Amino acid sequence: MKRPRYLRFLSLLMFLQAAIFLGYFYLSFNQPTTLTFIQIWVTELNRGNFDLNIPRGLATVFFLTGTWLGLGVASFLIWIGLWRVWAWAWSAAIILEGVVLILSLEAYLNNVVDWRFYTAMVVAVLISFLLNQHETQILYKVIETPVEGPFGK
Amino acid sequence: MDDLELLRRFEPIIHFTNGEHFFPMDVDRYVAECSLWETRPDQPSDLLIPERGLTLQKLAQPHPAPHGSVHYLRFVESLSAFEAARFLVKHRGGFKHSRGRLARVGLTSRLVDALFSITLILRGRVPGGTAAAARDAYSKLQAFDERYVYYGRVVRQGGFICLQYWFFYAMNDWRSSFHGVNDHEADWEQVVVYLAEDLTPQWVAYASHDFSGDDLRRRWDDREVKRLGEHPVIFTGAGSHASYFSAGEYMHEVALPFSGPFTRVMRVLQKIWRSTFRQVSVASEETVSGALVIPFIDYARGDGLKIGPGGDRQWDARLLPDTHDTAPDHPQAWAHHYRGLWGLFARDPIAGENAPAGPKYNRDGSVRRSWVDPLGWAGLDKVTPPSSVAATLEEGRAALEKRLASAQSEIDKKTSQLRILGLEAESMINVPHFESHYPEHLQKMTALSQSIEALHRQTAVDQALLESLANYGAELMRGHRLPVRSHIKTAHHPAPAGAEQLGRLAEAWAALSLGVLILGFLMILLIVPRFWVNGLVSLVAVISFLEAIFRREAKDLIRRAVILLSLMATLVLLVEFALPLLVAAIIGLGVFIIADNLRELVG
Repeated sequence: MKRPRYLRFLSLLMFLQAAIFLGYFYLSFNQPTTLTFIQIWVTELNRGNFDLNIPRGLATVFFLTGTWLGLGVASFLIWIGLWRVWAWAWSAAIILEGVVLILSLEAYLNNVVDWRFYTAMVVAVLISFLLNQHETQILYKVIETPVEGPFGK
Repeated sequence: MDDLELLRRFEPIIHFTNGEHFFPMDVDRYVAECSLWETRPDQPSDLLIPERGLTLQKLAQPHPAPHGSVHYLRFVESLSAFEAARFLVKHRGGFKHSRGRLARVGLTSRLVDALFSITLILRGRVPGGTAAAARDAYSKLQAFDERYVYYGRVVRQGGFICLQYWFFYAMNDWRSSFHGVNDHEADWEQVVVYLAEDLTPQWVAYASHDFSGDDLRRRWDDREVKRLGEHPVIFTGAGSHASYFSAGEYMHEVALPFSGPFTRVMRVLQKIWRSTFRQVSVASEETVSGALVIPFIDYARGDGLKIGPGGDRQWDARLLPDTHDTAPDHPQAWAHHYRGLWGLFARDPIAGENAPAGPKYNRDGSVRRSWVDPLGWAGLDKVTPPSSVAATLEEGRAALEKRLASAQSEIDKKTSQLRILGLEAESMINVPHFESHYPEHLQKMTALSQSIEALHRQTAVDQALLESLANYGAELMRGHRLPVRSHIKTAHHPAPAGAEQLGRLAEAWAALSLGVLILGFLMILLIVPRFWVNGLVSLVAVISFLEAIFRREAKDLIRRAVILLSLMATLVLLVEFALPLLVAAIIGLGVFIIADNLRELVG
């Protein structure tokens, strides 16, 4: 199947988004503080302490890394769906971009924004506008191809 | 064939909606029931002729009054609320509303609708109970002598024969009986059939709300024009009596008076968004046509009484005299001589609730365009009737050739002048005392040269037009015509069936949502006044989401929300990275120029 240019571009952006989020996950997870937190927790577990007393700070780290991982995996799966032109992929993609934009804008409004959020924002904006194009929506059967009525105009 | 026979030959068949209360009637019996009133500026109304004392002849008499005065008829006294309720309970039935109009549109339109209802309290309006009283009076008249009347007029204009059919109704009860825009005593509606001189029908035009010009008319062979033999079939709106080509329920939008500029800006932005960026609209359909519009449904179902040839009842045709010098004692002299309103003057400043004037006049006493210029009213003034096509083409060709010859002669003359100026200019070079005159001379030459260039351009256009006209003329002679609907800019179609299939829950929600929003906002103000902005945004978001679920548009709502977030994010990026973006744009421009030049160099 010869895919139109806008679809190739959309898929490329979605793949890029998956790579970015998984990259963020790797960077966040691989930090010394994160690893130290995890080592402490694992040690506690080995000692038989199962009261789930998560060390301070680890919850935040888990949330952040978990978010990047979740977004990355979701982006990857949606990339496959978009590339195969599966109808559900459009809906999943628009919801995903909504989540990414809410997180980015929330970070911006709370003054905790950094280059990672800005990058995510740029990619999400581009993907959203591509998803909102007439051609894209017709391809994924979100809207029907306009047909002329019984009396023309 | 005389005029009345001609009118009868093409008289329309009107299909009414089941539940319609008023049908076309004769003005004689109506006027006999009316009183005549006069309102002078800033004064209460004076009774000129009491009810049962008025006749059409008296109506046609002059009624001198100072500038700014309004003459009007009063058909009925409104019933009290109790009497009206009793009447309506007793005469219930017939009409069934489809899914409420508010369920078909979004929250914005409902808010505007609420504002519109409030304006009705502030504006002059037809009192409640008037429609019930008029129904009662009309049904008594019909019970005594059932008649269905139209007033016909034949106008010969510009090679067409215009058969104008006027229908008079005792009342427009669109608002009070069918949740429409307005009520007013008396209603005049019209339909025009346009014939060629050989009596073949060419066009039809039906009066319908604010439609005008080209959009009003359809070609006789248009599939949208329903016909029974030579009789066009018209579907009339319940209460409004507007005429439609097809049966159905029509969404009719009324714009608030001050909404024009806002709507225009919105439309331009929508156009750019859709055409330039190829984006699906963010705003819902009713917002596209202007956020400040109120939706109303005009029920033209055509499932009720049918009047006309082959219908349930037949017409009683009356011919209107076409000349203004009609003697006052002529039975139809009122059409020319009475310029007042045909029902209650409600003092509504935007006139929607004031009764209309007669077939010939506007409310302000000026002559209606449709009366004096039935061709221009339907945009036919620019259309050549079939019998004149050859002559008009020849006339156009001759005019163009004359203009071309004249332009060529002008070009020759000016070219000759320019050459003389050129030689003069050449002779001034190297002559020191012409230093101050030389620039002025050059200016003259430039102006003349530009004028010759303009003539050449116009000549080129005229030559192309001449060629085009010759080709089109040949096609016309071969019987070719433009597509049947090529003249229509905005056609009115019935609402699609899907719009009528919203659930009862959606309808209930539509009725409640605005109230819930207002009460919710009030609660926020009382309980957590500090967070009123967040509270309002959350409330609107929740209500919009519920709304979308009821309307089965949740996916679309998510799409719109994401696009709005994208626009906000774009704004953030533009603000935060203005300088880098500018640098990137300049770099991009530089790279593009280099690449373009290199391509030229290589290729």
